[in-house]
Amino acid sequence: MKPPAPATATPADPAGETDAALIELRDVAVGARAPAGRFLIEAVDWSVARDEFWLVAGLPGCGKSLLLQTAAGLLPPGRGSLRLCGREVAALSETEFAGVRRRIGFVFPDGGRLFNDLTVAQNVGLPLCYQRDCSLDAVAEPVGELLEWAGLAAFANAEPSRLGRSFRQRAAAARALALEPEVLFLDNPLSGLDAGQSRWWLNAIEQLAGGRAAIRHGPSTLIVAVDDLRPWRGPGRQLALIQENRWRRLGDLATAGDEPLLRELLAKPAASG
Amino acid sequence: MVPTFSPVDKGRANGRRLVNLPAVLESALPRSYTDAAGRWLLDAAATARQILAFALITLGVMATRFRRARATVRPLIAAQIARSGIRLLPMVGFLAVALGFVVIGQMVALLSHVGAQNLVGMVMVTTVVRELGPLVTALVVLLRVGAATVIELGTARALGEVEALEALGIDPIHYLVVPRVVGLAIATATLTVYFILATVFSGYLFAFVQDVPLTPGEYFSQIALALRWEDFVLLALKSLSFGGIVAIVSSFQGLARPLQLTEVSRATTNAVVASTLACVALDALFIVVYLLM
Repeated sequence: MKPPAPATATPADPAGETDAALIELRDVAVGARAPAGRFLIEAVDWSVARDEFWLVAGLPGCGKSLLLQTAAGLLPPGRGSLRLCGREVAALSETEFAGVRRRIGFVFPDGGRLFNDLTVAQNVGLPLCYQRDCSLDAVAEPVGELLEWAGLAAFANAEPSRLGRSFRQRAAAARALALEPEVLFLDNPLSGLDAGQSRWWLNAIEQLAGGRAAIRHGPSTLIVAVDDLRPWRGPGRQLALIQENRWRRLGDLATAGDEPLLRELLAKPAASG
Repeated sequence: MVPTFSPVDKGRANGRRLVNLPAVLESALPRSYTDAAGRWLLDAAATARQILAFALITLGVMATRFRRARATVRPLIAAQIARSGIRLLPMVGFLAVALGFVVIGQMVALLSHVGAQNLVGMVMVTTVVRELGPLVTALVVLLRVGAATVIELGTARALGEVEALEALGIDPIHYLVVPRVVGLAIATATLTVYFILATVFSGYLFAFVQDVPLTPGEYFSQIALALRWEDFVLLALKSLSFGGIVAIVSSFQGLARPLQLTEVSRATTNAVVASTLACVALDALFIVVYLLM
């Protein structure tokens, strides 16, 4: 059983916030508008409820990363309505938006975009130090716990550039979990990883989704962008496909229909980037 | 109907491109020059407007987040002061001594030869305290730190670190730009004081070596008498502003857009040129203030 989210991670719920959908996109257009007037992805109608596990699949370059960044509030939608934690983003003040954003974690692909001038521990502790206005020593306990979870305790004082890509990405995941987000976005977490590292990630994500991860207040809602569906087969996973500038919800992965793109993604060789 | 000229023919002969020389000679060259100058001016105005907007945003963030995340931002400010202040002290000291020897010492000697020793203090205050001190120090900071700032921030932007900060709920301006602006402003102001002191002392040393009939007491009392309280206020304002300008322009050039490797040199040059022009323009404003005093 997953423990309830702490009061520090969740700002006082303002009037109008509902728990019906943590993330809601209505007729959203993603990416820059092409000269022909079309966006990269058109008409996304997507609602993510608490405790759901979503897979967003598509071929490389179809706009999965942009869709995830838009849904996480990192990019403004080209058109349409985006609601985060039950609140319309366009109507939020800067302070309110920052509060909502802290409830959403994001792990970037290909090394996780760590800050190379900080050590691994400083990277993981940075969001805590910044939001709580304290030194790294004051957050040593949660940082140590996250590093332990990521298997990086031995590399706490190492520079990220000295770590391999898979370990850097683990550190990025630990950093994203530091603020105890309710939703975690993972952009192609298995990209370029070997079988052993992929197993660690699949296991870690499975534990996070099931509320069994050895960290306090892990996110219960996960959204993962993938371009190879084979490792992600399993029950209780919602699937959405991006194909030909359109977003489509296919429902549970285990019962998803039989269509060409799905067959291709389920038969695709690994490490396609 | 206005005839159209094509200085370069579209067609090719024997694989070589033909240049239509008569068309080149008949083309409206002066108009082309004015077009080019106009475009340059419009580009410069657009860049100035963007830098001004960036500066206002930075000042806004400094004001609204003054008390936020001090435990994180203060060490970053200290690092900037160490980097652009303490580490530049030897270089600034060397330049100050050289300037004192080469320019100020000779000027003191010359004034003494023509019997105008009583003007030494005024000349020192006008040249060193008001003008050379802040400007030379700002240029040293610009060349040593401003250029590096463009590369650092340009790389951070290219590696997606700005988006990573936003994903962690950290304001990139607050984390990346504010420490640089505050650190460079403090460092430039402090270095300017050291620069002026070193120049004044080395200037007298050169005059002493040349047997100028001016005692240390006369020399320093003249300078002290020539200084007014406004000089201290304006010196602080000027040097702080110069440091802030260098930091803001360098940060803008680094963060304005993701830099490709080939664009780094151009962005760095742009930062140096724009910072220099901005500092000189501000210096001109201060001259007006001095003249009105």
